[in-house]
Amino acid sequence: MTIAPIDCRSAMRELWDYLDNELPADRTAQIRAHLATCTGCHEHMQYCRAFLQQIELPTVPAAAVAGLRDRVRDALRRDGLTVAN
Amino acid sequence: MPSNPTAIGSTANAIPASAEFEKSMLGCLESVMRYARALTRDESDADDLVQETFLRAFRAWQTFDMSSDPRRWMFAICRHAFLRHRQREMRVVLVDEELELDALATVSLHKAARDEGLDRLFDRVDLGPAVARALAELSDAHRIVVVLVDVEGQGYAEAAETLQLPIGTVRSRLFRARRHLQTTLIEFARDAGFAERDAGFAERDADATSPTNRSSTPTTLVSTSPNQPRELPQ
Repeated sequence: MTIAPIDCRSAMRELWDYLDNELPADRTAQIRAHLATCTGCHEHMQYCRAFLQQIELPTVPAAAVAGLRDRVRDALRRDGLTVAN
Repeated sequence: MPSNPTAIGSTANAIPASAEFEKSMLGCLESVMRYARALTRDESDADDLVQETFLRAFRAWQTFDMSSDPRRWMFAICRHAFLRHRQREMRVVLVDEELELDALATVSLHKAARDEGLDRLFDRVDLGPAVARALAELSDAHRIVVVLVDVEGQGYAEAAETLQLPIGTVRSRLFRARRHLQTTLIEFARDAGFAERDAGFAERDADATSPTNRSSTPTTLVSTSPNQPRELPQ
């Protein structure tokens, strides 16, 4: 099936939706096809993807998670929960 | 009708209920912790909020629908507990925000970063501490959407349900927040002197790869169709 071409503005307007996997399959295919042929938009997509990877980094240290888990378990025990260690 | 009929208060059922609660809910503690930190912007307050969230969840455990997502249920309890403490509703952001402008504004930000030698910033530099600071500077409404979608990996519809907002509001807040974050991170990199260092990386990359069909520093985003505008708006 032929994919209808789209212009840069259309592709960039929906780039976040594309990177978030929020678009229908046909629209995703259109944007993917545009990115495959347009150097400038492809570079911008890579820039945005790298940005999202920075944001996705875990922000809570493992030690802090473990410490709070112990604290919550203690509070739940006092509230009647039977917790396995 | 309660979909989880096991009575917490019943001695006979206490152990099974406890085991199920621990299995379902304590596993999402880290996610609730990140969410609470996004809500409160204070680690100590967040820890208190997480503890209260789990206690409330435990006490309401018999109302939890076992076929639903426990993390989403915990987020909802956490948010309600936070709002009760704040004694006010979260600030309402206008729904008619210019989505297209926010989406296209990132193109302009990218161009500006490129002009300063910062276009590979997000690839090359660990921005973890700067990201945490930039997130803290966002408004509550914007930061929470970023945490749900970009950190916790929720879809737009899922985040909208968690926050009890229209999906369009979630989308507009997300795009606006990302634009603010990019602006803040680029300013951080500029102030920290990453521009000069990154330009050095770019020169070495160009020498090493010598691409023939890709420009490392194009000045415009070019349309593939002659009928379309050749440059995106500034």
